[in-house]
Amino acid sequence: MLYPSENGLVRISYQNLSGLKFCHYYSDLHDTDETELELNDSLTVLAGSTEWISKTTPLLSIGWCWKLDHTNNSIAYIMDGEPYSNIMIIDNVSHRDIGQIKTSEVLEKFISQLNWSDEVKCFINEKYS
Amino acid sequence: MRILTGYSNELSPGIQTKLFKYRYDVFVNRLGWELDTPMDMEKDQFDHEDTLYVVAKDDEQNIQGCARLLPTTEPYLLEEVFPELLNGMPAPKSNEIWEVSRFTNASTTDKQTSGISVGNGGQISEVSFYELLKKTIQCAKMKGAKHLISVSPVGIERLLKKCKISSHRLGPPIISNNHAIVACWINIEESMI
Repeated sequence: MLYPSENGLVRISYQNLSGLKFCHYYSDLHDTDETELELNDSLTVLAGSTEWISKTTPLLSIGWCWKLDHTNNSIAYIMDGEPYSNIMIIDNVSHRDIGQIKTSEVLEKFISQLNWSDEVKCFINEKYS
Repeated sequence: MRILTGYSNELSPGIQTKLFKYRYDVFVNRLGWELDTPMDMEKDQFDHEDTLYVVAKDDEQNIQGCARLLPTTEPYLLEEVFPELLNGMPAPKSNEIWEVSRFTNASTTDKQTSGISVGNGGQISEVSFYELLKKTIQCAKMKGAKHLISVSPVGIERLLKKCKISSHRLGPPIISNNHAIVACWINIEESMI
């Protein structure tokens, strides 16, 4: 059973987190003064953020920044920096907190398994078309 | 640049007027927040005698940054106006938890608008985000705070991380005035004071 602790963190093991479905909630481009505008062979570097939530009560929330990667003559959305969340991962056996740094690493691994880039691309294209 | 702190009765009337005019310029004019506030002066029900203010002034007495601190033992913004950001958690009520709001270091000469209200670097009349936040944290800590909470644009999380400040969100963001805002929990650690 999930519940927010007195500081708002929701504790969950990676095993249980992996079994949850997360949905795209919101994405956006960074504000103009934060977005890198780099003209290089007519390509513009864009960056933004995306938010995903679980279907649990309380909601689990994971957000992260992304940027467009132009290497290898293709364009891909890649994660840029660490994720932000209300989650604290606990050890599956001891049920103790693994700490913020390790939680961040675990969430990055979780995010890499989400098919997020297509959803973000579609949302951004629709929002700014 | 000088950063002063105090309750409303400790700030001169002149500074208070300048502060509320500055806040109107930043939050209403530049960021487009739809606030129920008198024309040219941004103040609300959370500006009262128990509100603690942090004000950054330049050598010409222009305000270049500010923050507002409220003890969670009294009504505060997150609790009263944005309780959905608590994600089902009871609103904190503790002398050790203070709320920071109306935080900005937007320079009066900064023409850019930003959901984070961060001014450009390099100008001597400006106060850095970290400098203002550090002073705000120090001020809260002197009143017994061990944690801060805030309602902020999601971009604040990136800035906190860059400043190596321990924090996390309380739940998913919501969209308000076309900006994604989120409730943050900030841990006051000795290393940051």
